[in-house]
Amino acid sequence: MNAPRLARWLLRIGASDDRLDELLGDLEEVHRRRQENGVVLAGCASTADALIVAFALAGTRVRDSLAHRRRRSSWMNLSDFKTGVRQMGRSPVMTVTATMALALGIGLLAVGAATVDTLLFSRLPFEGGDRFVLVRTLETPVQRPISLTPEAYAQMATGTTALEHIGAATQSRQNITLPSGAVETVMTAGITPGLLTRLPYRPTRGRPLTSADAEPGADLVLVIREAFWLRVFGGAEDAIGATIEVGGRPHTVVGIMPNDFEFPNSPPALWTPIDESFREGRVAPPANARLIGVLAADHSLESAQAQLDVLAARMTAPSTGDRVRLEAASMTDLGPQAPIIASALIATVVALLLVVAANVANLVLARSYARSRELAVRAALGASRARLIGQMIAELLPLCGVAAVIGVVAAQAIVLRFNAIYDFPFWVTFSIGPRTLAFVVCGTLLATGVAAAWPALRVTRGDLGAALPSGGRVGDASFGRVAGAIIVVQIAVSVVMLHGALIIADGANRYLNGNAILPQSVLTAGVFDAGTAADSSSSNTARPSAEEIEEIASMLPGVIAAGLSNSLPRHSPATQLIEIEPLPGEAPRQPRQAPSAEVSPGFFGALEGSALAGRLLTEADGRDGASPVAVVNAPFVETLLGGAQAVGRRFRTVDTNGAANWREIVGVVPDLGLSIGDPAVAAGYYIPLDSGRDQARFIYLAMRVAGDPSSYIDPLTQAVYDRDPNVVLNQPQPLEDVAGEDRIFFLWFSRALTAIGIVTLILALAGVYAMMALIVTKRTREIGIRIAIGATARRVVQTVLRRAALQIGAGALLGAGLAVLSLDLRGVLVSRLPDGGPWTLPAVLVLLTVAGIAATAAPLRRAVSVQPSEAMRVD
Amino acid sequence: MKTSILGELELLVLLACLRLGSDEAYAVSIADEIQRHTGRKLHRATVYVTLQRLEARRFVSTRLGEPRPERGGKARRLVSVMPAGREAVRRLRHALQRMWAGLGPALETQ
Repeated sequence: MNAPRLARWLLRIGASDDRLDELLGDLEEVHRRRQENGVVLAGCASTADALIVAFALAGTRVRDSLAHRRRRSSWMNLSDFKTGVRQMGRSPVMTVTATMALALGIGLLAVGAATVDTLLFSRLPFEGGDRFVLVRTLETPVQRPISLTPEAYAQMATGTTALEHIGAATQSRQNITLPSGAVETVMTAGITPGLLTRLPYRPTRGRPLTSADAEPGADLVLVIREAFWLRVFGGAEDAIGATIEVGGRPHTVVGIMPNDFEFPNSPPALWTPIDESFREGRVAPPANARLIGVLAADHSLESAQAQLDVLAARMTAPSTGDRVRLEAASMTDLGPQAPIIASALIATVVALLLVVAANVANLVLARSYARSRELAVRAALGASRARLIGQMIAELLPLCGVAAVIGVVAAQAIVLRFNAIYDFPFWVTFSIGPRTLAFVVCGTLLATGVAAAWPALRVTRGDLGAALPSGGRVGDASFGRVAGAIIVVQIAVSVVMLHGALIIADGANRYLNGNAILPQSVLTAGVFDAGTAADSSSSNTARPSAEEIEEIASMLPGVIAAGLSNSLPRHSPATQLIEIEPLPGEAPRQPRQAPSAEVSPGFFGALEGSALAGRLLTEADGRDGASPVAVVNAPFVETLLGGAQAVGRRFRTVDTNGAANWREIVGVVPDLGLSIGDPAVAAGYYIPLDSGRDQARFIYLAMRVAGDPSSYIDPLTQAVYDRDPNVVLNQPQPLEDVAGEDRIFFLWFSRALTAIGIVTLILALAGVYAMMALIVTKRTREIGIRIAIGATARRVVQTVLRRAALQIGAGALLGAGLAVLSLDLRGVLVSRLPDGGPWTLPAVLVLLTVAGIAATAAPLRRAVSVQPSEAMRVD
Repeated sequence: MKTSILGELELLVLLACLRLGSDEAYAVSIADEIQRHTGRKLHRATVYVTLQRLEARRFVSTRLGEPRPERGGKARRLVSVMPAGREAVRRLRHALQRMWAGLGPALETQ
């Protein structure tokens, strides 16, 4: 008896046709055996048996089918990446252009992200760093920092359980005398010993500062940093116990702190103790001290702020009686504006990357059109639209990967330069960290998606399979309005960038090498009163005035002349509106902008400036009650007086408050670089240095010397220190090095603009090339017919070139307009930079024209060389 | 190498095939052979699926035999063990022998 029909039917359902016979044979054999063995309900058993077999085999078939379908319908696979790598070699121009562009976009993204990451998320680099908070004492509602009464500080120290300790720290540059007798100006810090003990740093030699060291009347001691110890003491053990004078007061070295201890801001050379008795309300902390609180365990910044709010409600500002705000903030907090600025920065770099990706999309679109037959064949063979889009995205990924690597490496080099250019707090170290890398990876994927998905969507639009018989032209592979607009905007941006780069480069060149002839052997230095910034108690002697320092400088051996000014050449002071008194019978003149500087009589001698007419300024001119006088420079006479006699003429400043008193011109000096390099504002004047000025004002000393000016830095520092150890010379340097930061800024700014301009131009022209190539390819048949019926080469060129010429022309026009407008906006960023020459804009437009011809030459040549007989064969 | 690792069922099926020889090994006899020697009753569906897996891994090959009357005139799908299958069995045996070495007394005490 055969197996039940149901069992056989079940097997037919579950098994594949090619295996059905053998399975039925097995079923029959087993069923027969059951019958022979007298198994009860053998038919049921065989049916159940068949059901299990059918299920098992059907299950494996479904699983295999799904796996096969998954493999077949995967929208992206490894071979696409390999194709992408091969594509990079096949079209090197497109590859280099797209890689450069994407590297620029990704590099900028990485720089922006690293900047935001570093500035917003840097924390104090030691365990428990988040517990150290800055406590600000502010007067409301103006939010001005104020000092409180000693009692108020005592309340803060004892009245907040959220802050287990409140200490203080200062940082300033001070003069010190080494055991060798040499005088140096170094970064010094003050710190309360209680705060020091809560920081996880201990001396590598000697002992730390203690509370007893900070007591009034205690021996003056300090601890030095290891780097300073190695430099000054050569690592000698007897440095402990040595004496260093700080601000003229001898301190004993009691300990050496490790190099990674850089508290509270930039790495100091040494730390002195700050009197902690403000915690008991006996004294106020030093005026320049920052209060630093330590959060207690189980307390947060918010709970500390809540307690400080309660305390503040009971306080009033000592001087005004206004309300007080006690504010707790992270030491690394950059303020409430920081996240907004960071968001704007990130949005900008992401937008730039998207613009770059849109550019690359243009190139990819042109290449995709050239591969349209291949895409049509794939579609005809069953590739879905998603598969084709995935393929195009995957093919672009290797290129984007290379661009990302180049961009990140360049960005790392740039952000590392940030660390060298500026003296950031010790917890800020710019680098490309994991967060930035993750952001860059996301950005790269986004750029890949935009650059590949948009052209893929366009190319695969429509019936792909139906397109094959007509030559494989698939989708709508044409440059639409958006792509055309992008090209126009790119050309405009490249014109603006290149024009800006030329302006900056030209202006910077003239800024650095202006018409002013300045002596080489001039040493300059800034002078300010260190007593208001130092934490050490001040000297009892009166502070020397700037004039005294000028006198000290002029007395040094080898010094030919010394003088003071509130501005040095290349500082380019702000201009003021001046009105020149008209001569009798002369029409009133329009007020003009002119820079000015306050100088001492010796300043002209220091800059080797003699009177071309009249006289120089004298001591008497600066005295109270003296009539207002001025010495003008040669450009002033040429520009504002038309070369006429200047001495005896009068002018006055005009501002919103009205006109000042007339000032008489008593002399004329050569161009001494008042606004060096900018002819528009080179015409300026000098007035006597105000003798009744505020002591805190910043004054520059200039002294002309015999020989190398740098060799006079130490003697000058020593001489000033001998007069008053608390007077610190700021940035003593030769005159030719003044404004060195500006030079670096202009240099890099110019380079960056040039790079962006060139890349943008290349992208725009690559887009033009791609568009032209596409037009010629699509219209080959039409061009052939035109040539066949007698069209000249000129006519063909006109036909093909029309759109490209329109785009380049529109971009150039827009760019030129924006470039002219940007001259006014430029002042927001670089106010001290003079205008570029009139040749800059024409030069950029000539460059654009040449580049445009280069971009369109190849497609045009192809167009005019179309053979009608061949064109007829093109679909 | 992952492809040379055999599961318990795969090992049993391969051993059964080797014992039966290439002219007698087919799903029904394989299940019988395993039951005879191990007492373990495998469903035929399990043998089919295991054989499919082994065939996909090139450990066995199959061919159709002659039609037989006791099977309603249907042929048997005979299974031959491929060299890769023999090698996999050999490796597993060596591995198991090494693992078993010295474990006799420990197993005895339990």
